[in-house]
Order: sequence, then structure tokens, then C-alpha cells
Amino acid sequence: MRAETRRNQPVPRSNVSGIVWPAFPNDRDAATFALLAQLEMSQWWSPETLLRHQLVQATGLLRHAAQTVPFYRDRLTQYANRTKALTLSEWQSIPLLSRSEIQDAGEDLASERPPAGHDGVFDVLTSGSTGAPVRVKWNKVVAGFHAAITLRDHLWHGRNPSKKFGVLKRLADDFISDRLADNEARWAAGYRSGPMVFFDLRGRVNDALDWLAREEPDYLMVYPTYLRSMILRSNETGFKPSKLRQVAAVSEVVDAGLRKMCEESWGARVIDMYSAQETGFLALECPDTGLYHIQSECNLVEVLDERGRSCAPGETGRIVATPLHNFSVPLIRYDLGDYAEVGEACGCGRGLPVLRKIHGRSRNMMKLADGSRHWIALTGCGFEDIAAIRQVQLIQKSVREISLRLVVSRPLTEPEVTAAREAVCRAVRQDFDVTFDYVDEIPRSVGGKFEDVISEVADELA
Amino acid sequence: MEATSDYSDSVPISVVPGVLWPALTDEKNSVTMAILGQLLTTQYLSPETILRRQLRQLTELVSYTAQTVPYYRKSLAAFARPKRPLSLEQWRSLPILSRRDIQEQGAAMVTRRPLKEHGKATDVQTSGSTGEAVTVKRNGVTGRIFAALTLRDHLAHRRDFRGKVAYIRRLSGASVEAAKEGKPGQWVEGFPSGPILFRDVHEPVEETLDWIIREEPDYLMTYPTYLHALIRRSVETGRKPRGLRQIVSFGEVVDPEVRKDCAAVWGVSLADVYSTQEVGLVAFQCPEHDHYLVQAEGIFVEVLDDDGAPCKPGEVGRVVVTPLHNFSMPLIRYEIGDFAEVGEPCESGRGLPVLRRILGRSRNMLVTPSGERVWASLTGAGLEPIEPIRQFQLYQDRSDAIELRLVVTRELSAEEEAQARRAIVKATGYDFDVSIVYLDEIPRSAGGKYEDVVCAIPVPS
Repeated sequence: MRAETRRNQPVPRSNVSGIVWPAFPNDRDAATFALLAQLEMSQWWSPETLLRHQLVQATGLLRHAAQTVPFYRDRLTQYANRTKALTLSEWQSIPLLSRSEIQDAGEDLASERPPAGHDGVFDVLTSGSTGAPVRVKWNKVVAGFHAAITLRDHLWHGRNPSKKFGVLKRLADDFISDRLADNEARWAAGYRSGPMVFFDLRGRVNDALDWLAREEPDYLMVYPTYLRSMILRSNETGFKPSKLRQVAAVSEVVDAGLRKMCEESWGARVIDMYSAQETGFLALECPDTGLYHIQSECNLVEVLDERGRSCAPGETGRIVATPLHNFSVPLIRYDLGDYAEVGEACGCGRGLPVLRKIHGRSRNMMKLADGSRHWIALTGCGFEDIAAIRQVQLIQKSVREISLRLVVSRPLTEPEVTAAREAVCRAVRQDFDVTFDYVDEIPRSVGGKFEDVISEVADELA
Repeated sequence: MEATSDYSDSVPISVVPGVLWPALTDEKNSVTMAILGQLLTTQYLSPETILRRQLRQLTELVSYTAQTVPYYRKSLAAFARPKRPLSLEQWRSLPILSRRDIQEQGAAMVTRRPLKEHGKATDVQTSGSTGEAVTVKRNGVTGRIFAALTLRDHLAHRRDFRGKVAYIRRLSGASVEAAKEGKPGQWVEGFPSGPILFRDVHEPVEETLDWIIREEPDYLMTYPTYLHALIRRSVETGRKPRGLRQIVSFGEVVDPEVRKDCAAVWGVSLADVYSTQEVGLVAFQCPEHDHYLVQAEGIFVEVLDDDGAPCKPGEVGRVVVTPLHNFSMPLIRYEIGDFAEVGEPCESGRGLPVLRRILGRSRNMLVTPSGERVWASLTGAGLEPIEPIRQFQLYQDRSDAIELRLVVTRELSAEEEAQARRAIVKATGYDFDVSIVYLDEIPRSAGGKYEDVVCAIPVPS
């Protein structure tokens, strides 16, 4: 049964006098809702049908890239006049695009002749915690799809557009002056939307909690690590947000412990999503099962093993994505550096492919002495049991050395130091020389993301 | 893995180069798709929520009507500026509108302050279900609603938009030329669509069956009586159309016999549409059942007993409808002239109201002296402009003659009678000897059906 379709979905804002239901949206909103209507249907298509449509769309993108993008001219020359949709095996023979290739290519990745209608180009700067940031371009087509998937996320999770949405993020300076002041921001495009309020992540956790108490949002968008800090602090002060229903987690991995903590302490559900600036939405959390549905309508997502073959359900591999509609800067088979476990078909009935777990960045993968790489999770290793520890970061310096960076509320006792050392061993499953580095604050990366594991020795995957 | 989709994977026409799927549609189709997107989920709302939303929309309609439509100014005065949505009880206190009211007061029922954003209003003329001609107006908004509801029906029945359609009906306007030239149109607005071939329903059944067999359409759309004649002809000759995937019928009551014969003789299912020219779509047959789903997002349908009380499941009553979005010529609680049996809620999970069966118009085909069966359509034949005529019926009990039964405000002049006779020749495509009979009232047949063409000559078995 399709619980989701039965949910009492909100009525869009109508732009024609006298008509309230069904709503007649204005032209801009109608374009988004026209996409949403297609998404409403395509989510129930079989995976085979979805793939067939993806390959048709991807072939057009490929042809365009081969014809108009300098970077691809030689690389994809054989597809410059291809009209028939590629088969999956043909698609899989196309070379992957790495992050460093994007950085090196620069303007050579931009189309010299974007098709009509793909205008309104703007730069998007992606965060990078280790290397140089990556710059890509979006346009109004890409933004239109992004708006539709954003609405899908709201609808899947039953958000009421008339409520208040609070966003905690690292805000650009001009954004702060322009938008924070007017208090007019709205979050649910196309609906009679409630307000959207912002908190700049450069602020302290205590200030964030004050802001939360003052604004009382119904929904919150925040990085999981920051959310964890807020909840821990609120548990100490006894504060509990009264209206909060859901927390949308972005940019970092969400673990079960945080979900539980948020439910128990704040009575709010954590809803995860997986997106990247350079690709847009990659996966959203299923409203019925909690698994992740790949957003096949806007990204052709592949999960590949070490030998470049598609992973089967239960296998973990690296994520390769092709944003299907970015004709300004086509990213063909872009290796994001993230890892995910492929899931079985979802019990909800949607045909959108499933990721069971998303592991995050490859730079969070530690490189061991034998050259193999391992994903490291800090949750459940024992750090949570050490009361004085507020924040943890593991930095791999070499195949033998790890620096354990800690924010603590008081100096650790001797048994606590031992426990922390054991926790590191449990996390990395190998002996390392651990040095302790006590800091007042663990800085975020340029984009405001927090990385709990950083490997300075992990290089780009081939 | 089994395909999970309830929907066909048809993709709309994209107007942005390079973007094929999902499509970026043009402005007009974006509005249709935006409405369709709502309809895909609203059909699963609970009946209570659907009713609540209908009443909100009806309140807008009533308020506007009270303020701008002369005919309603007095009767709806109390609701010109309502503070909150009308209750069902308040709604039921509003007067019922008869077909005759529209005939006599039609001009006063047009809004005096047309809303520009609702698009240009156009006239629609119809004989409706009871042979009483009326003219109504519709506009761009009602057109979008119609398009979106039609799309939902196509999608729910998983019709292949690239398939070929044979559309047999009384033709008018551009379709006459298209049929003559054999020029196909497109049958799904806003989508890459297969061809639709038009054919006039007055063409002899024998020739039409040959035409269908030749053209091999995927879908056949026509009136049930004509369909039945085609199937009987198929049985007689042993020749069947190939490749037919579904039949869509409209315009008349579907005899269970017809449905049975479709399956037994041609091996295809039949999906019926309940619509009228003046109000648009009323109900579609459920994709999983024989019953009808009221298109509640476009029309408010009441089924009332003799005392004006709503019928319960299993009861038959008069169909009273209110199109929710026609602000050019609002029809409030319009008694359409059909009867219907209220059904239990649909097991498909849809919250749309259910009509178990519709007892409406049943057109019969006439017989010429040579034994040929011809289809008669009185709409647009030329009876409507004859001013005194309120209602009409064609009755045949001999193969060479026909009786035109009329309800009139005064007897026709000789010239008007001649005009009426010419109209009948046009409607039937045959030079019948027409006698005119004046009646006070044209009675319904048993079961509440109204038949605007009655043929009492038995069909040879």
C-alpha cells in the first residue's frame, strides 16, 4: 500500500482568482509542479524503466559534451554524433571523471555552446576539506530540477509548508546582511509558505540554542555533528525545543545513535538526505522504510566496486554520478569520492534504486600499511561513554600515526585517556601510534562541513 | 523484479533542447501537469477531506456567482461574502437548477464580470441527456481541468500514448475535415502522441467495421450503441479487428450486454466515460472495477432522491452537478437529467465518490427501409435554434417513417416544421418521412433512462 500517496498533501498556492482547489500555480511554480507531477509517477516505475529513460537522457548529454565541451572533445569523440541511446555496458565503458580532473580542467569543462533555454548560469563552489575547492556551474534548468526534488523531499516527509523552517549553515557575508535582516525568506516554493530563519554556524552552540529557543522552528536543517553538539548541550541545560518535529540532516553521515538521541532528547525525527553541490540531490530518505532512494530522475548514480563493476545489493562501492541535466558543465561519470552500500528493492514499492548506507568521503577512508583502505566510523567505539569528551576528530598522519583531536569539558583522567586510546583502536581496527591533541574548537571546512575522520595519506582513487 | 508502476511511462513533450526526461513542458502544459500532479494524490484523500476541499472551492464559486451573475443575484445573496466555507447543510439549501431554467434564463446566467485570467469563454451547444437543447460557456480554466482529468484517466488505464486511436462519433468543426481527408490528429495533449483517426458515426456500420479492421487501431472510442452494432456485425461476418487493446465508450449508458460482448467477441475490455458537453467530465470508470469514480476535483456530484435528500449506497436518484471551476457561466446544483445508483467506497483506496451505474441517455440506432442501421444524433442537427422547442425525441416503429415528438412553448409555424424535418434528415443521414407530434412531456423509460432516439423495431438476431 502506498502510504505516501494517501497522505494529505498540501494544496499549492493558486494564482488564478476564484480557484483554490486544485490550485492553478503561477508560471514559475507551474514549471516546478509539472516536474513534480512527473516525479510522482516515475518514482513507481520499475528500475528497468527508469534506467531506460536515464540512458536516453544521458546520451543527449554525452553528445552535447562531446560536441561543445573542450575537456570531452577527444575523450568522448566517438559519441559526438550518437543519437541512439547507449546501452548500459557502453555507458560503463566511459572513463570516470575524478575530482582532481575537474580541478585541473577548470573552464575546459564548461560548454562553449550551451543549448537555448539553459541560461541563467551561475557558479557553484563546492566545499572541500582537504584539497582545493571545486567550482562548477549551474543554470536555471539545473535549479528547476533541484527545486522539484526539494519539494519531493518536503512532500515525502509530510512537511507542512505553513510551518517555520530553521536553517543552520555557514552563511556567506553578503547573505547575512541581505537576507537575515528582512525576515521575509520562505522555504516551500509554490505553497503558502511559512518563514525560513537562519543561524550562522560560525556562532557558538550556546548561541544556536538561544536562537532555537527564540525562533521555535518546526523544522530544522543542520549538519549532524553540529546537531549532536546542540543536543548534548541542551541536555545539560535542560532546554528542549517545543515545536520541533523534524531535523533535516545534510552534508555528513547520520548514524543511528544521533537519530535516537534526537528522538529521545528533542522528540524530533532526523531525516537524512544525500546531495553534493556539484551534482545536486543524489538520494533522499524513503518516507516509508528509512532507506535511501537514488534520485534517478536527475542523476544517473552508479555504485562501483574496485574493478569498476556495478555492486550488487549488500556490496559497498564508490559512488559515481552523472547529473543528467547540467549542460553548462557536464559531469560525466563523476567519481565523488563517497562510498555507499547498495540495497535490495525497497519495500515501499518505489522503483527508485536503493542505497542502504552512505559512508561519506573517501578521504575519510584510512589507508592501512598494506595499502588497503577502510571506512572508519567513530560511533559506537566508546567515545560516547567518556563524559568529558565533547567532540572528536581523527586525523591520520601516516600509515602508523593518528592524531586524536579532542574538545573536552575538563582534562581527561588517566582511565579516560586509556579508554579513548582503546576507542581509537576499535575504530581503526589496527595498531597506530596515537597522539592526543586538545583543542578549544574543531574547525569546520570551507563549506561548513565537519569531517570526523580525515586521512592525510589517502590519495585519490584511480 | 515486478514492475511497480501504476502509471504508463509516457513522458510529456519537452520544450528545452537537450532535456528529454523529465520533460520541461511549455507554459500551457505545465499548468495541466501541475494540476495532474495534484490529482494523482488527491484521488487518495479521504472522502471527508475531498468534500472539505470541494466546499472551499464551491464557496469561492458561489460568492463570485452571487456577485456577478444576474440570475443568481437574489437566490445566492446570502452567500455573496461568506466569512467561512459553506457547510454541506448550507449547500443543500441552494436551489436546484433545471435544464429548462438554462434554456429560458441562459443569458442571465453568464457572469457580468468575466475574469481575464480564466481565459476566453466559448459557447458549447448540447442536447444533453434529455433532448432539451442548451447553450453553456466554458473557458481556459475549465479546459485545463478537463485536460488534467483526462490525462489522469489515460494514465490510470495505462493507455499507451503512442498507440493509434479510432474515434467514431458525430463529428463537428475541424474533425469533419480531418475525417474527410483521412488526416490524423493527436489524441493526447502535451505528450508525444499516436494518431487519432476520425470517422463519422453516420457512416454505415458495415463500412466502419471494414475500416477498423483495415486501420488496426489500438484504441476504439465511440458510443455504446454504435459499438454494439459493430460487434454484432463482427459476429455476423466472423471478421474481427486485430490489435485492439481497449475500447473507450462515452455519450450513452453502457448496457451490460455491450460490455460482455466486447470481452466475448473481441476479447477487449471497455472503459466508459461519463461526461456531458455542458458540464464536462463527471465520472470515469475505475481502472479496476466496472463502477464509476466521480471526478470530484472538477465537479461536485450529488445523487438525490425524490425528496431532495442524498441517496445512500444502493439507492438510485437524480444526478445534480456543480462544475467547480466554471466562472464564465456558473451552473449551481444543475439537474443534469440522468439518474445514477450510489456505490460503496472503491476498494482501490481512492476516496473519490463512487457511482455504481448510470442511468442516463440511451440512444438507439434507427433502421432504414433497406434494413441498414443508422445512428442518429440530434445535437447540432438544427433543432436547437427553433425557438419554441423545449424537448425532443425521435421515435420509430416502421422502417420508412419516423415520429418527431416535441415539447414546445407554442406550436411550430409551417416554416419551423419544415426546418425541423430538415434537421431530422441531417441527423439521420436518411430521407425519412417525418411526422411531428406535440406532447406535454416526454416520459422516461422504465428505470429512469431518457431516450432521445427510440427504435421499436427489433434487431434481427
